Amino acid sequence: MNDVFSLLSVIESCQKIEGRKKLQKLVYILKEGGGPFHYSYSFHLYGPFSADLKQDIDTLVKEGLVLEREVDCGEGGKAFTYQINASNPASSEIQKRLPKLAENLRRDAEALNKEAAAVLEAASTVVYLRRHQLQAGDERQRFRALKPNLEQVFDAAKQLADRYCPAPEPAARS
Amino acid sequence: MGNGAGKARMTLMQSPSGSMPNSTARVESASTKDPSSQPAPAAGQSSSGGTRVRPRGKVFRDPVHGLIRIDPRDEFILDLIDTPVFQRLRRVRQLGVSSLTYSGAEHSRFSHSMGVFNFAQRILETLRRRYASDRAVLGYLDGHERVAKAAALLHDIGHGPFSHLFERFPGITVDHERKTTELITSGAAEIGIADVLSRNRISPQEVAGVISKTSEHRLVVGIVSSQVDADRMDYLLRDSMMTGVQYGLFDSEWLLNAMCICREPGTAIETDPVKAPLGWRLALDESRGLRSAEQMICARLHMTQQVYMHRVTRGYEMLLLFIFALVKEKLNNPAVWSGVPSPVRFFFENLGKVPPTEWLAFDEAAMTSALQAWASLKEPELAQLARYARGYVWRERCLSAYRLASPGGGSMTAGMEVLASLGQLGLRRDVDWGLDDNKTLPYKGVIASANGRDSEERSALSVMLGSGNPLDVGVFAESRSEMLRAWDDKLERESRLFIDKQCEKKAEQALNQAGWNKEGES
Repeated sequence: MNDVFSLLSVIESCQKIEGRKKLQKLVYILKEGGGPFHYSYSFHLYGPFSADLKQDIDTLVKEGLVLEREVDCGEGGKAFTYQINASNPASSEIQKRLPKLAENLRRDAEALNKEAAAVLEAASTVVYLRRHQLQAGDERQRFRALKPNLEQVFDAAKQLADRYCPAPEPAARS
Repeated sequence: MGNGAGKARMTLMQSPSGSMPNSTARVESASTKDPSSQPAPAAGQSSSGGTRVRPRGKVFRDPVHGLIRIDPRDEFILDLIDTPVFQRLRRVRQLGVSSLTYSGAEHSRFSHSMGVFNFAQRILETLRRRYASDRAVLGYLDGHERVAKAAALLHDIGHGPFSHLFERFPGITVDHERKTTELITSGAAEIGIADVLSRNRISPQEVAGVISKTSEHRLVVGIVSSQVDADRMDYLLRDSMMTGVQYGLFDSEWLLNAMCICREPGTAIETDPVKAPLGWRLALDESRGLRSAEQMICARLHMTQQVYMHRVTRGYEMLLLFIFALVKEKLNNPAVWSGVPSPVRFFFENLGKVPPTEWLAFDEAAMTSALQAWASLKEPELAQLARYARGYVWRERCLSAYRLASPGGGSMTAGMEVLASLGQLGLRRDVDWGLDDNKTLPYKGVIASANGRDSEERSALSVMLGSGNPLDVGVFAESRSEMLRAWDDKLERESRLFIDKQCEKKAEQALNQAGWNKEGES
């Protein structure tokens, strides 16, 4: 449940998060940068993925605390956006009472939300490889083996990983 | 549940049926530098300089498997078992504090890891038997089965004391899977895993890749980690046996017998002999495997509901979390550290980052010593910590459990509301009271989760059914099973609230108003 409070604060800071993938990777990068999340992540087709986070967001939507909207993203593709359900009195009441995220975390969440989902997917993959000590040898080569379609954003991803999740792992922030 | 215990002689090692030929039919690996593709040392020939030759191999007695056999060609497994970091698992219990509920649940991660190794070994044997005339499959197994066996054996070496409990510690980042890969690839002499693997021409990175699921060899990953993997097969049977419940039983022999290889849906037939196996998935023979898979998935759901999420167990876990939160608050009080083993202090002071030298002694023996030291604290400012620690050590009932009157609906809103109400009463979350959010997903399939919503989960761990021919595309089991379809992506979620009995009177009215009813004590 502690994760849910932080998750709501992140969504509130970002105002709107476009896409499930972006939400997953954004929370992962914040977590690995020392953010107050305990979601368990494993490596899926599009990089680190947390079934727990997916379940939490689904429950928040079901209980009317978060709004999920399906939007067209061109070429027949669809994406889901997430924002706090301001019209739900319970939601706005909870917002007032929730412990606030640290200012630097709010800033990080906002900045990461401005990145493309593909860049966040690549950055979270770089972080995942580093955290699991799997980057030995050429990091780019290892990345390419997992994400051949994202090689063009590897440099941008590496910069994000260096900036938000520097090694060694930082102490947890609240 | 045994498989012939008592029929075999303890000292005589026979090759497991269908065991590998001596690495004669290997396919070329994609990387010539990949040590995992190198042939194993010949039987009886020690990889460690001829000092530990066991020409007949070794057997271990096990309550679930009867006998676990280590083939002479797998002597590296014995070397891995002998490392201090693996021996440490004897002092980490598989079910953490569950023995306070089920008195028999004292089994360790050590015995579970041995069991996972054996199931992985038997899955590989099944595949060898089934594909005895398929050179491509046999060649692939020659090149990768030692990685699979090592990954199965080592998959839990990163577990902290009380197993999964430590991953719920507030404000501390602990992840057993990440710790496992760190230990496997660590060059630290006191850990020694990477050294044993490298000496035996097995890549530590490849083993770590299987455990972290970043390996492109999905067949191997599926043996160690999927919905019908060696890990689940062992823990369900072992936990069931040691707790004395019957919920975790399933027909493991039939399930093993049904294992085969299929081609990943959505992939084309690959003619390149190196790339083709990358499209292989572990599957169950469609004509015989489905019912035993359903039985196993049902067993896991019932074990979760009846054993893993038992109120008393979860209550003592919450009590430990309260204790750890109090210790974290009092880090600078020297009395807290009197009589506490140094790895425990190191863990708290460094927010969960334990270096290899301390890790070897960071186990439940050290944590129990610390809890006993905290239980005897006399300082008034540490009274709550001492009372909680006594509650754990002497199994006293310190907490009351509450549940929502209408379970399943509105749990998050109710959780947030109670957070605000109890906060106004001056009660501290994670010290005086805490929310325990139990989530269970009976089956994670591809069909429901894909459904236009979660393309992310297309690589989910769906059980595959296959014809038995590795060239044939597999089908998702949920497409053939009404039971799995009904459970696919159906989250069961129930929240409990635990509160210090000494604060209960103060909070009772607020709890009842928010819809929380008393369930019991623990």
